[in-house]
Amino acid sequence: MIGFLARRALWFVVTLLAVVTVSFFLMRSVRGGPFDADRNLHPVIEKNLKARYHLDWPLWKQYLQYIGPLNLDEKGLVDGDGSKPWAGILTGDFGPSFKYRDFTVNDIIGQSLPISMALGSVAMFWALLLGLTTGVLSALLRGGKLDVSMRLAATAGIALPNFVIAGFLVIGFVFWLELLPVAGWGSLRHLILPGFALGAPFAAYISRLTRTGMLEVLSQEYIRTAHAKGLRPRTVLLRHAIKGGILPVVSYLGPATAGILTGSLVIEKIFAIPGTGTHFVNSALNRDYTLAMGVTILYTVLVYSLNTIVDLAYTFLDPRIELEEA
Amino acid sequence: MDPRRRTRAGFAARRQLAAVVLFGVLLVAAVRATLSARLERADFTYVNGGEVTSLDPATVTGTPEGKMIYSIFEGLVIKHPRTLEPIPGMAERWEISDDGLTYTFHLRKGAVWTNLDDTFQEEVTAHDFVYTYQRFLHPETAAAYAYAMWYVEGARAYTTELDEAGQPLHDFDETVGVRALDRYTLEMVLASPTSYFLHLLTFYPLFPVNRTNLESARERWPDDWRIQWLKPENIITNGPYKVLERRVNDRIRLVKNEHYWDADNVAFETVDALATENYFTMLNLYLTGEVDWIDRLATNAVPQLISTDAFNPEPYLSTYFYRVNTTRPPTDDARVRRALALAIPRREICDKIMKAGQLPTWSLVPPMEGYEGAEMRHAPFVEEGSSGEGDDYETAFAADCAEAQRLLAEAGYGPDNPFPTIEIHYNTSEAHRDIAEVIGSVWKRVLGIKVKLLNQEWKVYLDTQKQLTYQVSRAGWIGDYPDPNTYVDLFVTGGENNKTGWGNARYDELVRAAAVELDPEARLGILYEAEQLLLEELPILPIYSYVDQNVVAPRLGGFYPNLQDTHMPKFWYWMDDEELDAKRAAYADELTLSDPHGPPQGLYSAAQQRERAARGAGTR
Repeated sequence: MIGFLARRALWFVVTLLAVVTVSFFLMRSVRGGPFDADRNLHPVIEKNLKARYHLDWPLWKQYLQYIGPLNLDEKGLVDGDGSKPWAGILTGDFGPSFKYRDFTVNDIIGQSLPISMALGSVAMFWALLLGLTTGVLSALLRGGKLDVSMRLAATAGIALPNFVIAGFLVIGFVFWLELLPVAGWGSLRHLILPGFALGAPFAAYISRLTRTGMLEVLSQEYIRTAHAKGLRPRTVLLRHAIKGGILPVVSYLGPATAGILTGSLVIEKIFAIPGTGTHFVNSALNRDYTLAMGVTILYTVLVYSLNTIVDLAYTFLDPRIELEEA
Repeated sequence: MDPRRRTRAGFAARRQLAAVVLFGVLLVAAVRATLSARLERADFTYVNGGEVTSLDPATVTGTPEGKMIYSIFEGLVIKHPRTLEPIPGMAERWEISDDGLTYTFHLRKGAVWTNLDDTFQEEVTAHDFVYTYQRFLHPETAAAYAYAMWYVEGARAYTTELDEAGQPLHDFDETVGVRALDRYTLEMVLASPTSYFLHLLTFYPLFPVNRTNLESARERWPDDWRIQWLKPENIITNGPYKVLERRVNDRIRLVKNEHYWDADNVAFETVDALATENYFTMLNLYLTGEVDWIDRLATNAVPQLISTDAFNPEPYLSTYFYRVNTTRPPTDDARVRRALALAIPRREICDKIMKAGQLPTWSLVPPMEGYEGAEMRHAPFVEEGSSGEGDDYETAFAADCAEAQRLLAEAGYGPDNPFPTIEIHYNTSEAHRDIAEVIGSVWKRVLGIKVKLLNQEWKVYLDTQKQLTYQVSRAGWIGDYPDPNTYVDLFVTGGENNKTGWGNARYDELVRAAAVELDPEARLGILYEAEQLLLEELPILPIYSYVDQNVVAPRLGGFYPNLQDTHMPKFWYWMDDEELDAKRAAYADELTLSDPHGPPQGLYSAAQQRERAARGAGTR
C-alpha cells in the first residue's frame, strides 16, 4: 500500500510538470493577450502594463518565473516599484489574476472551489440517489414496464446535454410550479435544480451500471445459495447482492466526481453560480494566463487524487482486488 | 456460520457504513460551508454583466467597472442623470476663463473620504485631485484612458516622454497644468480650449483616489499592495456607496455611505450588483423578481418585452459599423467601399434582426444634441410613419443598389473580371452573424460578390483587427462623451483605434483645427467637414445606431434613459403605488403594465420623505 502510494506520488509530480509545461506554452501560443480590448491602448501604456506582469520577457524566462521563486530580474524579483507580480507556483503562489486584477488566483480559487464542491456534492447526491435506486429496481423488475421506462429515462439522461435538462427544469419548477429560484447563489434551494441538472447524466449512467452489475450478481451461484439457505429476499439483496452489484459504480465514482467538478461550467453559467467551472472557460477566453493555469493545475490535482482514492476504495470494498505492483 | 467469518463480514459492513457516513458528512460539510455567508435581498439588485476587472478608477475601461466606480467614488463633477450635463460633485462650483483654457474648481467643504468601518475620515481636498491626476498620468499606473487627461497642458508629455528607466522626463508640478491653489481650490490649465472638458471630468476614470489608501497599502504590503488597497476592508472612497463585500463572479454588495455629503438624498441602503453574464439567465432573474434591472437583452427576447412598460429602448451614443481594410485590394479602392456601403439593407437589419428600434445610419457620429451629423451620399427617401409602410425607402434602396453596381463596374469589375471573394469578419455572436448573413446575401444578389463569413472568438478577433489581416470587420463604438470628437478623433492617421489603415492629411488637419477652435459653432462645423470627408472615402461602412437595452422595474424612480446609458444609484428610489400610478397614467402609447418590482409603499430618501410629508403625499 505504501509502495503504491509512493509510486502514485512520483507519477503525480511527473504528470503535474507535464501539464504545467504544456498548458503554459499552449496558452501563450494562442493569439491575443490579456490586455487586448476593443479600445487599443496607447503604445506606452501597453508597454508599461506588459512590463508590470513581465509579459515583455522572453517566454522561457516567464516560464521559470512562473514555476519557482527564482531571481530573474536584474532588479531582483521586485519589478522596480516595490511590488512583485508573484513568487512562483512552487511557493504555492499562483500569482495575480490578469483579468480580475483586484484578486489573486489563490483568492479566486479559494472563493469558487467550495461553491463548485457544494454544487458537485448535490449533483453527486442526486446521481447516486436516482442512479442506484432505479438501477436496483430495474434489475429486480427486469423486463417489466417499470424497468423499460427507467431504462428509457436513463438513455434520455445520457443523451440529453445537461443544459437542455436545465431548461426543462427551469420552465417546470420555476415558471410553472414557482417552487424554486431561477438562478443565483445563497441557499440550498438554489442548488437543487442545478445539482439535479448536473447530476442527471451521471445518474443515468450509474443506473445502467447498477442494473448490469446487479443482473450479473443476481445470477451468481452464491446468491442462489443464499436463497436456498432460506434467507429472506431482502436480506439477500441488501447483504449479498448489492455489495457486488455496485462495484462497477464505485470504480465509476472517481471519473464521475471529476466529471461533475470539471463539467459544471455550463450549469454554473445557466444558474449564475460563482464556481470554478466558469473560470475554467472564461480565463482561457480572457487570456487570463495565471488564472487559466491555476484552474488547470487545480483540476489536474483533483482528478489525479480522486482516481487514487477510488483505487484505494476498490480494494476496500472487494477483498479480491489487490493494488497492482505495476 | 464460522464466527471468524462473521466478524470479517461484520467488519466489512462497518467499514462500508463508515465510508458512506464519511461521504455523507463530506457532502453536507461542503454544502454548509458555502451557504453560511448568505446575504439578505438588497433594496435594489441589478445585473452588472460580468465580474469587474478592478475598482481602481484609473485602470479600468468597461461598463460594469464604470457602474461600480460611479457608485463608490465621486469626481469634481458628475453627470446629470437625464441630460448628462456636468453637475456639482466634489466641486461646488467652477469658473472657466474666457480663453477656455483655465478651469478653477471650488471644492465643497465637508466632503469626506471614509473606509468601510469609518475608522478613516478625512476631508476631500484639492490636493487629492492633484495626487489623483499625477497618478493617473504617471506611466507606471498604465491608465487605459490616460488620453482623456491629455487635454491638460503638459499632460501628454508627462505620460509619454520617458527616460531610460521608464520614468517621466518632466516634473509634474512644474510642467503639468494642475495646481491646488489652496485646500479647496483646484486650477487646471488646458493645452487648448476643449469644450467637452467638463464632460470628460464626469467620466469615471478621472474620479479621485485617496493618497493615504495607496501609500499605506504600499507600506504594509510591499508585494501585493496593488491588490490590497482595493480590498473592501482597505479601500477609502468618497462616493454615495461603499463596498461591503465582493464575491468573485457572484455579486458586489454596496451599502450606503452615511458620511457622503449628499447622503440625505440617497434612498437605497443596500444595492447588489450581480456578475451574471448569460442573457437568458439575467432575463429569468428579472422576470422572477430576483433582480430589478438588466441592461442587455437577447434579440429574440425583444418582441415579447417591447410592448411592456419595463422596456423602453432609447437612442444611445453608439454606432454599429463595418471597418474596411483600406490597405489591400480590392477594398483599397474608394469606389468599391462606396458600393459595399450603398448595398447594405439597413432597415431590414434594424427591423428584422435587431427589432428594438435601432436606427439605420449613413453616418459615423450617432444622433446627438446640437450636432447634425454628416451622411454618406445615398438616395434620399421620405419616411412615413415608423412602420415603414407608404414610404419610398425601397425605391431609394434600389437606386442605391443600382449606383453600387455602376461603381463596381467603374472600378473595373464585371463578367470578365469578377470581384474576388470577400470575407466579413466578426466576433462570435448570433446577432453579428445574422447581420453579416443578411449583408452578405445582398452583396451577392446585387453586386454578384461571393461573401464568406469568418467568426472569431473575441481576443482573436481583436488581434485580427489590430494586425489588419481582415477585409471587412464588424465594429461598434460607444462615445466617451457627448461630442462628435469622440468619433471623429478615431480615424486620424495612425490612431490606435483607427484599425482600417486609412489616413488622410486633410482629415488630420481638420481634427487638429477643431481641437483649438474656440468658437463652438465653428468647431462643430470643422468636425462636420471631417466627418463628411470620412464618409466620402468610407474606411468604415455605417450600419445602424444603437438603442439602450434596459429592462428596468417600472417602480424605480430617478432612473432615466440617456445618451450614454450611464446610471448612478445615488439618484434611485422606489416609488410608492400613488406615484407609480401617476407615472403610468402619463404613458403616451399603449404599454402592457408589467410587474413593477419593489415595495408598494416605496422607498424614499430622507430628503424626499421630508418633502413628501410637507406635501402630504403617500397618505393614501
